[in-house]
Amino acid sequence: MNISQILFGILTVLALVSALGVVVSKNPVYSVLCLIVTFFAISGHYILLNAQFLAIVNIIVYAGAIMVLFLFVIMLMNLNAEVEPQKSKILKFAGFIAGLCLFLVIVAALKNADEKTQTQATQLAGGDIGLIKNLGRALFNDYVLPFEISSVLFLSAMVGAVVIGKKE
Amino acid sequence: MYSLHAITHSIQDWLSARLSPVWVLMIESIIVIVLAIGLFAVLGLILVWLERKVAAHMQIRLGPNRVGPAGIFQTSADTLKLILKEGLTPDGADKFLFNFAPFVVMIVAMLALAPIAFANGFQIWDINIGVLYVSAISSLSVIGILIAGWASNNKYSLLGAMRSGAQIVSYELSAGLSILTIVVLTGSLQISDIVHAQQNGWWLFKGHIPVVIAFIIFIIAATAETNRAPFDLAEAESELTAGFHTEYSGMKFALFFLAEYINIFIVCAIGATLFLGGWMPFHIGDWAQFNHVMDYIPSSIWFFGKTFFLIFLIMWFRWTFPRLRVDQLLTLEWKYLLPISLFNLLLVTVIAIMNWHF
Amino acid sequence: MNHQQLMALLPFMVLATASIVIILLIAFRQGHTVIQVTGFLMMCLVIFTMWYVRDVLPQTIMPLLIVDGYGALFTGLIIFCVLVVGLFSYIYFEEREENPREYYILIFLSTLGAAILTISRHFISFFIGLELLSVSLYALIAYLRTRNNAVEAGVKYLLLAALTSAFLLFGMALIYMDAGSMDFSAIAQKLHTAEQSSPLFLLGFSLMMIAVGFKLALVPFHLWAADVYQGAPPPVASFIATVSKIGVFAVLLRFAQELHLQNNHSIMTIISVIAMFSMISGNILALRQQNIKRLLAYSSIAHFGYLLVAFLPGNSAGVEAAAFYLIAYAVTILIAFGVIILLSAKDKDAERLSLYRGLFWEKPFVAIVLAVALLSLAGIPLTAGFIGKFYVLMAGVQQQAWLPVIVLVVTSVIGLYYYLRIISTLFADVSVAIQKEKRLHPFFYAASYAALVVLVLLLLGFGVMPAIIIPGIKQFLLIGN
Repeated sequence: MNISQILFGILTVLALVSALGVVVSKNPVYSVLCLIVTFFAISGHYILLNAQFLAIVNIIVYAGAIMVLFLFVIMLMNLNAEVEPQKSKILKFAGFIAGLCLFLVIVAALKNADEKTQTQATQLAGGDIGLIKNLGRALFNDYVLPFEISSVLFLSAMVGAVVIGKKE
Repeated sequence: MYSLHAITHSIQDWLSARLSPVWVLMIESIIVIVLAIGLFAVLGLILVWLERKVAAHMQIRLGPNRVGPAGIFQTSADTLKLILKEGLTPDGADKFLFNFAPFVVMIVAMLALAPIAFANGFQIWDINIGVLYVSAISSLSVIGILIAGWASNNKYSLLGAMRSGAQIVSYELSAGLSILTIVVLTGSLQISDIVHAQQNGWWLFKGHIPVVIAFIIFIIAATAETNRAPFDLAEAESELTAGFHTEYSGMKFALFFLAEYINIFIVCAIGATLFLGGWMPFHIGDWAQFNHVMDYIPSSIWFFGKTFFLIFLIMWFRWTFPRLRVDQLLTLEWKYLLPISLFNLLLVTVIAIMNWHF
Repeated sequence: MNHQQLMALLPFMVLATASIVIILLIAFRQGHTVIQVTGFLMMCLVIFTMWYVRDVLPQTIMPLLIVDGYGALFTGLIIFCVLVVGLFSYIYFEEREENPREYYILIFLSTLGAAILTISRHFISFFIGLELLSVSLYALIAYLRTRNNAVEAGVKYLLLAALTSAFLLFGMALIYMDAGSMDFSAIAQKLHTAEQSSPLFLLGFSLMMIAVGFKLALVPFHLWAADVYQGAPPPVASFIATVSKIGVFAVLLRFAQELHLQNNHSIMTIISVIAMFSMISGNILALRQQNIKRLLAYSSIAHFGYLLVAFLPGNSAGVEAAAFYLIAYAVTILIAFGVIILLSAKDKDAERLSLYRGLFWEKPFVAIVLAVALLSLAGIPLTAGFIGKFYVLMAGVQQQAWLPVIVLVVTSVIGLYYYLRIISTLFADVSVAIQKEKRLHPFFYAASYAALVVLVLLLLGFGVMPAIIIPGIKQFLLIGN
């Protein structure tokens, strides 16, 4: 077991525990904080995959900006555990069963995939595709069109937000 | 000649000759941690003293002058007092988050230290996305502030935290854009590359007026991001008693206080690295004789000199400009600084492509 | 990217430019009419460029897009729908105090998303196109935000669409894990070499079907449809019913064609079950509906159930049937919503069925147009709806998918009941006049009426002489195959 395997283990446990915390915790603020921790753990995974740029962008965008806005809204609305609507027991139970079923199916599928990885694993083209230079090359050569289209996507989101948010 | 670079290398050699690589890594990590915490403590002491002295100078008074010569031990005495004080946790506060927040703020400040080059070859982690890393980490300090404000269960705290959040999230944009101008000129995000690119002159002088504009915007944004006057709405005494740390006392308050000064140091260090060449001595083009003379001054002195100059500038602002209103603050960012820096970035890109810079 | 590829993408670039032009017009404070006319001309320009570049097709723009006859056919249909929706939008929004100018930006951006879907051959373009389509729709649905239902509908759509996008991504990730590529043809190759479909692929496709089913409002992912159709402004509802669904269906069909999904037994089972549930639930839910917008929502659920039957064979006949059905359906639903828009009053849409009582004696033209549209939806002979349904049935029978075919026939009969119920309401003798003063420029009324006439003529023309369009569809589909 080398260092990166140990780190992988720690990060995975951290990600899973904090993701569970998002769902389980009664207080929405704690949920958001747990989500931030999850994003950090996932960024750690990215760094282990040598995708440092992706890791940092993940932190800037999710932990630094989106989650801060989440915190903003939740803190201003002052949601507490008492205000949270109580769902019926049956609904919770049904949700639990459904989630369990999906989990089982996914585990079964992935179990088969594990045998497959011995023979025909999905291989990355190279170990350093996540570095910013290679990423930039890929984005501005092969994927320049989707890159531009995604800027149009942001334009539409922006126009939509302004339309909904503007004063009369 | 002794340099920090040589010292680190000799330690590295000495350790790796005797121990296995894992242990070397461990011991070096411990050395780095000790050094970083030591730097934090010293910086805190110096900067607080400096702030009071600068303030006193601006207001034509003496400032601290009883404890030690020129009052240099005043901060140590204050720290001692803060350590001995009781750390109150208000009733109705969220106990865990209330006690957790100061550490978040502090840890974030520490993380941002990693890629800063203090001297030639003296850098904790020369990550290949250095400046991006710093701006990512500095955007996280707002989370600690928001937690502190919310967990205190106090309306002033919450208001202060909200203001601080809005302020940091918005000013991050123009700070990021002005950092990008230098990235565009250098063609790299790595701190060491950026510093080496300024071997024949600092970017502030090489990059014509657009870089000067970027520098000014960066300083404004840095002041705002560290919640310093005239952007200190998050802790505006006259409106919010003390903003997000109203309820904090004792050592927890000291941590916030320390983190604020560390953050100032970090943004100024980044500003010095990007625009003023970091540890790179003042060089003029290929004038070898002049450059050689400048090289006699150690690189660490260059770095700290530039950083402290910027810190002095930010302290100077505090006693020069009145505090902005919230709407003025946001108007300044979204309606002036952001469009200007976007356009400026475009200009710099043109300069970089056409190779018009020196 | 070479010259020819750029040429092939020209229509899409013009489409993207249209929204920028509208933004600039707004920046220069131009009025609604100018924007409307410009938008109309830009869409005409898109069609013109499509005609202009027809010779360079098919072009594959690696790795994401393929502009072939199939894509051109569906893009053309989408642009046609947007032209009509834009025309109807003018009279609808001109009457309201709300500022409708940003509406056109969002409509064009959303159209771009749908158009990208029709030409995508890669998961990335699939996802980006879908997001572009839905992000604009969030705001469009809630556009008249002072109305109660609008914001509710918008938020409902936003939450569900975001959730299903997550499913889509997860499904794509699983398929990527299995096949090692996100390119449709590469996935097909990988599947082809594997002796049996892996559980990972099945799971991934099922998760993707959740998102696709949501967009097409298939049962059991249909819960948003009625509320959104009711809450959204009628032009937007017609946009969702046509452009959004055509785009998503086109990409689904291309995906299935490339991967030869019809050979995969379990996936076909999933799809036929969804199809049957959609047909049954859609028609039954519509039976007692008193709100015509909700009724159209349920009817669209049923109609996409019918369409999935055409999807089952996976051969060229199935694709032709689906294409013809989509054209017929789009024309019909545009007529229906066009009538609703024409009848809507300033503060309230004409959505209660009671408002339509005796409409024939008040406004015979509009009533007849609506009646024709409803007959086409029901699949009565002499309308395009009948021919479409006939083709779909034929495709299903060829595949010997008896159960879905039987369900199709039975539910069509059930559906007849509620369409005829509305038609009988239209011709009932007690007249409730719909008050509506005309204060707009008569030109736009004339244009709207003219559009309705053209649409009805198309509907009847396709119904009486399907030969005028079937060869065209075949020819288009041949390009690139």
